Amino acid sequence: MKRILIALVLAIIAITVVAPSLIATHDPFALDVINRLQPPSTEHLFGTDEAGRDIFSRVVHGARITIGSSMAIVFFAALLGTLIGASAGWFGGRIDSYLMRVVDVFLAFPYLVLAMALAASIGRNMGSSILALILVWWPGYARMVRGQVLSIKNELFVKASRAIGTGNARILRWHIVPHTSRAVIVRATLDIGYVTIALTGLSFLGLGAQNPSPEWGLLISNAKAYVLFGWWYSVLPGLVLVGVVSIFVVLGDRLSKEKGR
Amino acid sequence: MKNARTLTSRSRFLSRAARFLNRLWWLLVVVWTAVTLTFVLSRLIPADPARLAAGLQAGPEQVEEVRRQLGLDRPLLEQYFNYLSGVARFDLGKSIQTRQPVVDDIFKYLPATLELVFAAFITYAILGIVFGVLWARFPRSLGSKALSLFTVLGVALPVFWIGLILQVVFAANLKWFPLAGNLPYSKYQVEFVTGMGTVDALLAGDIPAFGFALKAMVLPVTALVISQFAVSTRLTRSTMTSELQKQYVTAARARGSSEARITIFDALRNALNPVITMLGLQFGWLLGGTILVEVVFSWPGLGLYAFNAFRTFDYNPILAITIVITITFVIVNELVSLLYPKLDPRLRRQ
Repeated sequence: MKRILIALVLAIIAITVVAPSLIATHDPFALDVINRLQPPSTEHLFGTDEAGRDIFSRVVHGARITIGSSMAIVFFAALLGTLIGASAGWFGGRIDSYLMRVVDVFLAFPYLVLAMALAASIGRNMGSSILALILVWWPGYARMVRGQVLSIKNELFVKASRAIGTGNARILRWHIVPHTSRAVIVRATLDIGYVTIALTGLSFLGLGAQNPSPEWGLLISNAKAYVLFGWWYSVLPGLVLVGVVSIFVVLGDRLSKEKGR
Repeated sequence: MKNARTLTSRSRFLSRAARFLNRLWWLLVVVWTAVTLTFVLSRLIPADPARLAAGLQAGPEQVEEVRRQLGLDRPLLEQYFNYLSGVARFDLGKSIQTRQPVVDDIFKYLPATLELVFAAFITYAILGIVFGVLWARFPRSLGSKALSLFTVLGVALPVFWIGLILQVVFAANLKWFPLAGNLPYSKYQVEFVTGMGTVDALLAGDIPAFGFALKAMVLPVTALVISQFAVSTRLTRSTMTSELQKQYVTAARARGSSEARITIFDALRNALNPVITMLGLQFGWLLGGTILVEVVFSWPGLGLYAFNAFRTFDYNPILAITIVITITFVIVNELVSLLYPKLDPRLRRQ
């Protein structure tokens, strides 16, 4: 039952990300100043914002930017982390100690602060936030994958493959990395939720998406000025954000528990 | 006999000194990386810092003038070394926005941030441990079910959104707490001494002002606590659950110790170590989260200062804040690791 529910919600999220126009009721950028800051109604499900734009449609269109970017961040962070972690674990010795030193330095930072500093120094736009978060997120994967590689490095099938003269790259690609993919996928699922929170946080500070983008963090940041005039503006988009994040967190939690089976 | 003892104490001192130097070196590496990374990235971008510093109305000559003043016309490597030596001398340049040396600004805004961070840290550490213990002790109770739901949702709640919700409910509608800001110094005619509203009010002996300062802290601290609470509670619960199943607990029960005594004096003490590590790590997150909370509540601390710096491309403060927070984070983690042997006698022998 829970499984079906999760699958259903994921399907809705997928549709929203791929084809937001199917779900949105209005044009997310259409101004209608006369109807500004209207409470939720059947016409405007989530009410309207300070420029009379339909908040529901903005949230729907923002899903692509927010969730899409978070997925991209997690994908590239996992890719980079796997590459570096697998090389460190496989080659060992000096390469390992240098690479892991770098990983340790990155993990020694409070990541959100580092991401803020990076995003601010690259420039205030979505691209710089994405880059900043990839830069602070890969070390976790690197350390995890390295640990996994170390634990299977001396298995018989790896030794056998080496004995018949298979090259390093080939062994890594076909014999080592597939064994780490399960753990990477579990972690990535959880991380989509966490990255979404971090990314919207950066946008909330004005470091990510810029107006009039319907990115969720920016949307909620705009709502901040209207806390006294319209509860729906900050509350409803935030609820959607929390819902999406918790789906990924719950899914990641379940996947990690199923791991043993 | 006496000789042997001095020898061991000396070698212990030496190993401690070596450890200390090692950690200091590590701190330098971490800070150097932060400084270098931000420098490199800021120079990679096409945006022109001199242009930004000079303002929109400036003509080409003025921009060139500013460029010379900021040393941006020098070769990159020279800029980098000037920059590093500035950081080493605690000379982090001036803020474009406040026209004050950044170091002075930091000392002005840091106390208000620390006020929030300490209050939140203490609150969620205590709440997390208490609720974690109760959860492990009474796993089938209704309260535990509520906790388990809340801690899953808790990690999914963005701290800035919690802040906004608290504002909507408790400030805008119920009007129990102020919407934003800390102690209004001019209204209460309290002198700005430390920068912590509560402390300054107490120093002035002004009880109503102290009450207001406390009230102003409630919502921001609550937002931070809610966002952090889940992690420490879950961890306390899992370590406590495994401790309570160990044989020494059964043995203590057989000796007739009371359940409360076993839970608090025997099991909790053994379960606390990983929790304290986690609390230390969370402290770093707290420093990042505070920036968001300060922006929501217009709390005049480092976070709001950073936010204004982001908005105006005021580069020196951003770097300074990164350095200050990174140093704080590394030092806190170091202090946490020094706490272990105090709490766990098993580690003292090593």
